[in-house]
Amino acid sequence: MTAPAEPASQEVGKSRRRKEDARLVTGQTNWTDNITLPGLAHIAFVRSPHAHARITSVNVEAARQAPGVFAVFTGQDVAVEQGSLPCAWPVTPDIVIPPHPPMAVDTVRYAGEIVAAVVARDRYSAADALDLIDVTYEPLQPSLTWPPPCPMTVPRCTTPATSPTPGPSVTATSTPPSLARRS
Amino acid sequence: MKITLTVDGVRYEDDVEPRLLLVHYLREHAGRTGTPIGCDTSNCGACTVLLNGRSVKSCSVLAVQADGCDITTIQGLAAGPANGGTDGWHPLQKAFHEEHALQCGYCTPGMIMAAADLLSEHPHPTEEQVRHGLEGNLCRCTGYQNIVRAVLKAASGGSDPAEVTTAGAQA
Repeated sequence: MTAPAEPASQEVGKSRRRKEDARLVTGQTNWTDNITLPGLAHIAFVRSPHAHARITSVNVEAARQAPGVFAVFTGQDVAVEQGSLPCAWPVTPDIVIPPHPPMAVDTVRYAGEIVAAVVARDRYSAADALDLIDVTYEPLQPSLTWPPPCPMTVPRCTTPATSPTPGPSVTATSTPPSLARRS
Repeated sequence: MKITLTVDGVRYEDDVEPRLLLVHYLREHAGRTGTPIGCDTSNCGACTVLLNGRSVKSCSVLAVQADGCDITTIQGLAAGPANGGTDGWHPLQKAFHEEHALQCGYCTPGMIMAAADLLSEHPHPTEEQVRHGLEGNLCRCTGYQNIVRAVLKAASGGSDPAEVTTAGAQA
């Protein structure tokens, strides 16, 4: 082995200037948001104004006809296509894994949850089309304490052993509530 | 609407929608992507630029409001080559580098532009004035200690900010 050119003691403890600063302090970094690819589309989301509500209807037809819009998706569309977001690490055999659709299907469970998505040629067209989407809600009582009041409206839960891919079944609102399964 | 404005010394004439945000104009029409969008809600200050010398959050200004104005972005601040050595860098750019005032660097353009306005108003600010002047700009990784130190260092012409603070306290 070749000995290092300088003893390590001369390097340890020294303050070092960062090498990446030149582009960062002069505005030359190529952030992901700076990248424009041929055919790049933009997405915008309709979000729930309610902390807890049943979605009684989602009408996206007008948005689909809007200028510059490529596609409009509802929570149901995505649930059918993709199912529930998987649990990457089921740490115990009896772990309770609630269905977790990427977008709300029939119930919204927090203000800001995504209800519908518009894909368009530019961000302004996408945002404009959001205004054409008509969602009706039936507000429900939000859970502000734990344990929540009965009857619970949390989604039906599944375990990997009994239902590996909940898929569209995320629309189910039947009980039992999640933590009841633990007892 | 037709607008005419100067961005980093370059004159632009454009026909834009009245609702177009200045930050979108700068990034998508003028190609000044050095000004990032952090929050879209005017909270974070990452998109801060100078409009006729005063700092503005460019997500909260319409492009048409900048008609006839002179805009300076982070890309117009350095007089020298942007990716070469630090020669030609603005004192704030040098001080941010030297004082480790950035980590990911996303808030840095806004921090530097807001600080530039602050120093034009208070060439020799106290630490308190720096903290107050940058309260509209959020950093989520480095924290503010080194940012404040860098601004004080730039204000002092590059000397140790500890001396500046001491001198400020004595004055």
